Amino acid sequence: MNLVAKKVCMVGPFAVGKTSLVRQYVESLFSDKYHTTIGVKISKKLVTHRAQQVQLMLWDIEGVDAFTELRASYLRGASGILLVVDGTRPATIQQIAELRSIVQTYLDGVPLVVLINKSDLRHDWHFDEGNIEQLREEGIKVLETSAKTNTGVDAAFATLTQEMLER
Amino acid sequence: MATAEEQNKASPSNEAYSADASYQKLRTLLLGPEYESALDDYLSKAHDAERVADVLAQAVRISAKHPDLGKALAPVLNKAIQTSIANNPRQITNVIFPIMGPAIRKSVGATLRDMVQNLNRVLEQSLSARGLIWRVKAWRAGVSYGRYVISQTLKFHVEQVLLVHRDTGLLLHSVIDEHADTHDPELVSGMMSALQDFVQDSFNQTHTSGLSRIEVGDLTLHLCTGPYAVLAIAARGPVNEAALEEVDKTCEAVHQVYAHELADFDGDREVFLGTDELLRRCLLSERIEAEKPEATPWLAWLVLGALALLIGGYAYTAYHQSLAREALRAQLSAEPGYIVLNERLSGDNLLFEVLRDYRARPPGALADALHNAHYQVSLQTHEATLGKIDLSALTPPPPSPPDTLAQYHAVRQKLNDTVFMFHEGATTLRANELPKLARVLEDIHRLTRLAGELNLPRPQLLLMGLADPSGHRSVNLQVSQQRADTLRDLLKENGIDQGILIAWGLGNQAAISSDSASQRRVSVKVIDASKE
Repeated sequence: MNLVAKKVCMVGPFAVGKTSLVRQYVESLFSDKYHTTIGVKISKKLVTHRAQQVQLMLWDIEGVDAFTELRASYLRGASGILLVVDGTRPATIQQIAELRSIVQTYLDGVPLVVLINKSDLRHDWHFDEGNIEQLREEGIKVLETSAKTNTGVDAAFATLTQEMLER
Repeated sequence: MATAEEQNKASPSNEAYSADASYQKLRTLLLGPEYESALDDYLSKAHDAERVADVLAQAVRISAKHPDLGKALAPVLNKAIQTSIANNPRQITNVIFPIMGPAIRKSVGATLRDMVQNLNRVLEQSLSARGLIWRVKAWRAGVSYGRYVISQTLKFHVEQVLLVHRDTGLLLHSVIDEHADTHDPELVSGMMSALQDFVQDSFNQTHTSGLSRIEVGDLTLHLCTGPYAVLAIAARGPVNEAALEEVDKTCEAVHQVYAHELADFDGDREVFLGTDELLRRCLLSERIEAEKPEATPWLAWLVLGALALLIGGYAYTAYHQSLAREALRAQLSAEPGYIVLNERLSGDNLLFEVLRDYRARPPGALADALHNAHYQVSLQTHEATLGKIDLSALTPPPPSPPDTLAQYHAVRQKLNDTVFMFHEGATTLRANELPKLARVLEDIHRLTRLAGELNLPRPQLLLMGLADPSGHRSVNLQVSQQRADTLRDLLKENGIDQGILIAWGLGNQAAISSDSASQRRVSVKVIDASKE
């Protein structure tokens, strides 16, 4: 089967670990130092799903905060979205709905997977499980990841790849 | 008519049918039953085919103006050609052969010509002083030599051509110049799209207008934005108008040829491999100086000429030196009382090892006489009697028992008859010759002892090395000398005083007519004061 290329966007609030997830996934590296992403950083990774080779072009988009809103033009043409939040910051969980609606405005029907990052700090997690349950009921896949301990990272990208190919 | 009206009245509900039937009836009445059969015949399939055949050529001619006919016929023609080739491959071979033959020849010729031109260029660049300076400069600038040459000889040079899908920023296809140091084109295309998005977003530009140029140092990205794809060239130096026009044309051509594929792009980039040829058209460059076509590679000729001169000069000198040596050797051999044993050359110093009769001209005077423009001549003499000794100069020996003298002569004769054989080309003694050595040693000791008893001067042994006629004279001389040396060393190691041993390589002696095998030998000759 021909190699296909897909654009994937990492979106989410600032400092939830989007860049770290990509770095862990592509380079198998993790650093505790925080560098804020300005604009967008692009990486690539070749994955195979059921004998189909897929070249993922990972657009790591700058985090959203009170002063920076999601630059929607970066989303154009994306085939899949990873919406990343931080389990230790309940406010980021609250932002899921808002970010989802922005993404849906520009990319209707594009697969979206929610990642709750920093699962290595699970003892610090305190958020309303109800929000997550509601997402799952809507058919949205929600996975827990840790870029630091490399837990669930490969699975997260694999899940999105599967959703993109079997949509 | 009246009948038809009656029928109509009779069945008004079935009006249409009855109307048809009435017309038919009327037709039969008016034209007769033959008309019906003629009509049937006219409407039959066979007739249809004939009618179409009559107008087919004309119809095709008219439809040729519409693109639809081509589309409709394409699959049929494809199938027809496939079937035709499958049934008779020979026919298609015969048809395309006259086209393919010249095309292949032309292509091979062009490739060869290019190769020669490239070789000349590489030679010119590597050998010229400018090339060396550039090498150093490239090394100092930390870029590859190839890239430095390009930067010096080209006004501009397109290193990379990227075809990028506009919406996704995914790279569809790219071509790269072999000399360029480029990054992963997929990441470059992604970042380029992100930059486009950023600019459009930040300055509220519409989606239809975008960046057309990005400059970084001496590298410029020129972008031609089409409805579905962006064609970008990365070039060093100022790109001329003609090249930019070519980029625009290529962008249009890609959109024209791949309109559907671009619109329905879903990540499969295989279909865009066909754009390779189009994109390659954009790998343009402009030289600073017009290249001389078919220039003579004078530099290569110069180097070759210098080499030839050097070799010729060396050969000339060597020839003259060998002539001079030959003359010296002849002069020395002609000198009465001297026999040349060996000659050695170290630098300008030519050393002759000679056997000298004590009555001959003193070596010092002779060496002066041998003055030569090429060599400093010196002589190493072995004083010998050569059988020409004036016995009257010696105190008369006391009368010795005749049997002692007879014994002496017998041993002397035995030694003079001794030969040591060698294998072809070898300078070590044959194994089966070794037993002789013990006997010879014994004889030498006996001869020395007998000479002492007879009050004769101590006898010397001349070991004459010989070689077979095969091979060059100088090699034969060398081999024969080595054979003589071998024997001398063997005798020396077994207790014979080196002072009485003279090793002399004679080379091949044509005068000695014997078979080759027996010419590979060392003969022993006793030199003493006794009469034969």
